[in-house]
Amino acid sequence: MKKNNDENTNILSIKNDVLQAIHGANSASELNKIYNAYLGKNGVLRNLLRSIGDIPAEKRPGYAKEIHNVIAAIENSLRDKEGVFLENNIQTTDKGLDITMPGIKIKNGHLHPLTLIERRIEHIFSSLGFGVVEGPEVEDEWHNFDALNIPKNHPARDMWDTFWLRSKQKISNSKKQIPSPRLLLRTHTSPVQIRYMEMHEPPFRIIVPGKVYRFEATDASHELQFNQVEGLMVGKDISVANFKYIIGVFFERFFGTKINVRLRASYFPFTEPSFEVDINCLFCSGKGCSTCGHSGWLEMGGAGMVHSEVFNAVKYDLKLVQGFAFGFGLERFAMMKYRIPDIRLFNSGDIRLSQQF
Amino acid sequence: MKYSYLWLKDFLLNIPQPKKLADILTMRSWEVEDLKRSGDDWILDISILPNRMSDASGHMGVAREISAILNVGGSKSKFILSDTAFKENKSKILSKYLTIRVLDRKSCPRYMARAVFNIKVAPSPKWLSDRLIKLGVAPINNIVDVTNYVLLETGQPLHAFDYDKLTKNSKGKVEILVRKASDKEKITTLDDQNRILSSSDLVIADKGGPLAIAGIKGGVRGGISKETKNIIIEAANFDPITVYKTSKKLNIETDAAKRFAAGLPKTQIPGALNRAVYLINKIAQGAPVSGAIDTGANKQSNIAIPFSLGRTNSMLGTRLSAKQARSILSAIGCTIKLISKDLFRVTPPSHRLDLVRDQDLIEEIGRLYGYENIKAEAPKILAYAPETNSARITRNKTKDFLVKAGFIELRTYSFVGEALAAAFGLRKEELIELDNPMSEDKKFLQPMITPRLLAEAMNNFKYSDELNIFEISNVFEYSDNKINEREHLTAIRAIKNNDDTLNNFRIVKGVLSDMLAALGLSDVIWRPADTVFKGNKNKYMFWSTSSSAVLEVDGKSIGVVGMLRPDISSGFSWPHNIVVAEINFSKLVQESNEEHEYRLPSRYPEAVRDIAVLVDGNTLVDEVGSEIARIGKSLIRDIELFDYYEGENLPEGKKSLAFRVIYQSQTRTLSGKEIDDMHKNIITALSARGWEVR
Repeated sequence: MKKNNDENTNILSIKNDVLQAIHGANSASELNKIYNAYLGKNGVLRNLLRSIGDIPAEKRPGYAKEIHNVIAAIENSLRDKEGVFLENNIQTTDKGLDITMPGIKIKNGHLHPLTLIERRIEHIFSSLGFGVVEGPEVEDEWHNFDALNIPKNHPARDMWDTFWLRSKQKISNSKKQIPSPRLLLRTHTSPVQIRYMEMHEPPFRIIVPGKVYRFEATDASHELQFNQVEGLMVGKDISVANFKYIIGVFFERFFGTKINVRLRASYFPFTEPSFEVDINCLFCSGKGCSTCGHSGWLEMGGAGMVHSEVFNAVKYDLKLVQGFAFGFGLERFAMMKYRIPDIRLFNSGDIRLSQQF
Repeated sequence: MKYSYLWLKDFLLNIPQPKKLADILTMRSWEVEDLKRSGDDWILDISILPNRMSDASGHMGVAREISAILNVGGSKSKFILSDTAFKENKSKILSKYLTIRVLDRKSCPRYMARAVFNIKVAPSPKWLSDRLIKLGVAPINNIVDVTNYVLLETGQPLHAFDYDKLTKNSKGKVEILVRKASDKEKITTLDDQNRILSSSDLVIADKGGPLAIAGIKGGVRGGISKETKNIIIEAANFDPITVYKTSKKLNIETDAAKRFAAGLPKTQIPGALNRAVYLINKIAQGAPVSGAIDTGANKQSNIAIPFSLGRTNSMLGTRLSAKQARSILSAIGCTIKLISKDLFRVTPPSHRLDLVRDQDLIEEIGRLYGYENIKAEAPKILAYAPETNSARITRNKTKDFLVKAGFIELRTYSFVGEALAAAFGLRKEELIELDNPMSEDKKFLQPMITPRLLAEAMNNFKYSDELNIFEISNVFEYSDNKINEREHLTAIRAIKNNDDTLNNFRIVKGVLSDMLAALGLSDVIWRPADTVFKGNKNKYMFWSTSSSAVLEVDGKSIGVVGMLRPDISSGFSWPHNIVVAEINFSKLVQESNEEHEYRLPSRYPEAVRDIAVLVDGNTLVDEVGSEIARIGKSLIRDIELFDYYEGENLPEGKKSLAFRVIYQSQTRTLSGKEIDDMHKNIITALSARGWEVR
């Protein structure tokens, strides 16, 4: 009995000593020493646990529990004290971060600016219910010209300088007999209108982004290979007024600001009425500057109501359909939005272009 | 085309001020590209649209258009015709001097001629030559100048012949023939060029041969000179296609050819011819011979067009009244017959060849009413749900993935030249050649993206020591007797001054593997290229096959990834560590259907064991890996190479591969013994292959 009491007293006095020591400790290394002396591999309390066999069996559970309580109390106290040291340490060593140091960048790649423009345009038209359709870059003469009411030996064809292919061969996917099978690089995305209408019945609304080619000398504003986005909306009663609405919404969302759109009389063989689509100059707010040739307006593309000869080419019933079509150059949008001064940069393969986006 | 403001004013008294006029024309008709002062006059550079060349290629036509615009706008404008009245010399009858035979009526629907005798060829008076000069036409002499003047005024080309130089027939008469040229027939044109004609070309001829290429250019014989006394003036109408074809073929562009190719109204011929005779009579004296010879159709067949007001309003999105529509149509000279409230029969004026269908009339109403007056209106909701474009979705995902992995998107031309194609081992018989290439380096359509992209992108070493780039574009190849167009993806990694190609390859492989996984493709195999392209003497196009892999997805090869052939790199002075991946993206899109099947993670614990083996330098990691997998079967979940070493402390020609093998079953907890036994089996199997397990 006595012995038991002695043992318990001993443990309690150890506890007091240790807690005292922890309280009086001045550093983390002192705490470490205390830990090693009592709770370490050969620490006092560990040894007590190890010698528990010396205690009569009936007392062992109570005794062991006591030791564990003490160990827990010491551990708690150590942790508290460590916390105090840590806090002190933080307060004394944290001199504050120089948050004006430059950021360390995780090396990301970059999208080409035309991809960004393309996505923005697609996103807007998708939200207006337009599908995105694509077509081949090697085209036959019929889809690129004849079906779009641009007949052979007509001066209208001179509006499109064309790259012709030497090969007399067919395009892989054409099964039908094509009236004008000579192959070329499409001069516009408009043949995709024909390809789409051959396979679909109205009503529909689509846009067609893609590369086009013109046999044309290049300079800062002309490229022989560039990108267009074509639009086509056909239904029972689609009108010029509808086009004005759609295109107005598009420009406002694209540039994120109120835009004035004006339609000017024009001529394209595949639309009638045809118009040029101008927007008020974004650089001078319509006052007139060098970018807009002091007119206050920027030419963005061509548009019009689909010509009945085009509907005839795809065998639509003229009494039941009408619709609008439009076409814009993607590079022009990119050049305006990002102020890129030379159209030739897009195909240059210069990483310093993409890297800025 | 250039127009003089004062000349336009001759026809219109109340013409608006030049700047205002330019604005009106730009909005309603044609863009005025330039407006410049010229003395007391203004020169308007108007881009007459191709469909209006037939009625507006002269000042009269443009004035008529302005008058129509003003009339629609409510201001009355009076259109004044120019003077054409002259006195004929009744003692001389034209038919005694001239006959005209049109042998090809289809190519020449109307031919009219007059003659003026005893003229005096001299320089033109100042008022006339001034007008020509202002509009960029060089004065020659009063006769030629008058024909040019009338052309600029009416849009009708005219031609004058020296009557005395023409061949007479037995009756002493000149016989003008309008006929197709015979093959290889020759003519020396006024610019002193010898032209060789063919049977598709139309000529004006006499018995002595061609005098002019019809509608395009006159010949030297029969031309007006200082000595010319008596002239014949021709005003004709020619088939647009014939003129267009001949002028393209002979590469002659003249003011006359441009107009005839667009098509001209036959009805304007007498007016223009009389105007020319009037002016010649006035400035070069002489006596107009009595009468005119006029052959062919002297009327324009005006077809009445059925016109519906309802359809017009529906197409424009307007609510125009019948009165509004009629006033616009009459302003442009149409005659209108009302059939019902909604339906008119509209006959366009003879000079408007472009108006043949109701849509043409709707356009006239739209532009003259003013597109700015049409109010934007949201389309009624259509029952149409756009299809999803899976190619685009996959392309966007791929681009985004590669960008996150540090790759930069570039775009380059779709063409290659002969030199580049040869350097990259592209097969010439598969190349598609352009008929009219812009330059030597853009002679063929690219069958692969890599050559052009590399050639352009390697210039970037000027600005960057490390290149991680990609492009997605279409490629074109001639095979199986047809042109195949598909989309490719090329990704390239190159480092300046560093030859660790293996490291570059592993980075590209890692990125592509992750990319394919992100696209939902799990069945991916990297097969050593030299086992696929056997007998290709260690090269497949531009890859070194001993250092490349054929990428297979779902058992189909979709591309090649590996080191650029060192002879190519050397040839361009590029480093030898360029790793190129070119993938058939169209195929990838087909395979990437995102049909992922969820696999339940094993509920049982995993155990990890490492194995290091010493193997010959040419032993593939995959060989060892697949042997481990073969033995381990379903007890192994994953095997990964975590260390690779060759060099110091290892026997010559050997390399050390360390694999981490993860044991885990889907169905039960593996016992320690089971795993140890299996591991021993694997070690035994690897040793049996002659690989030393360390």
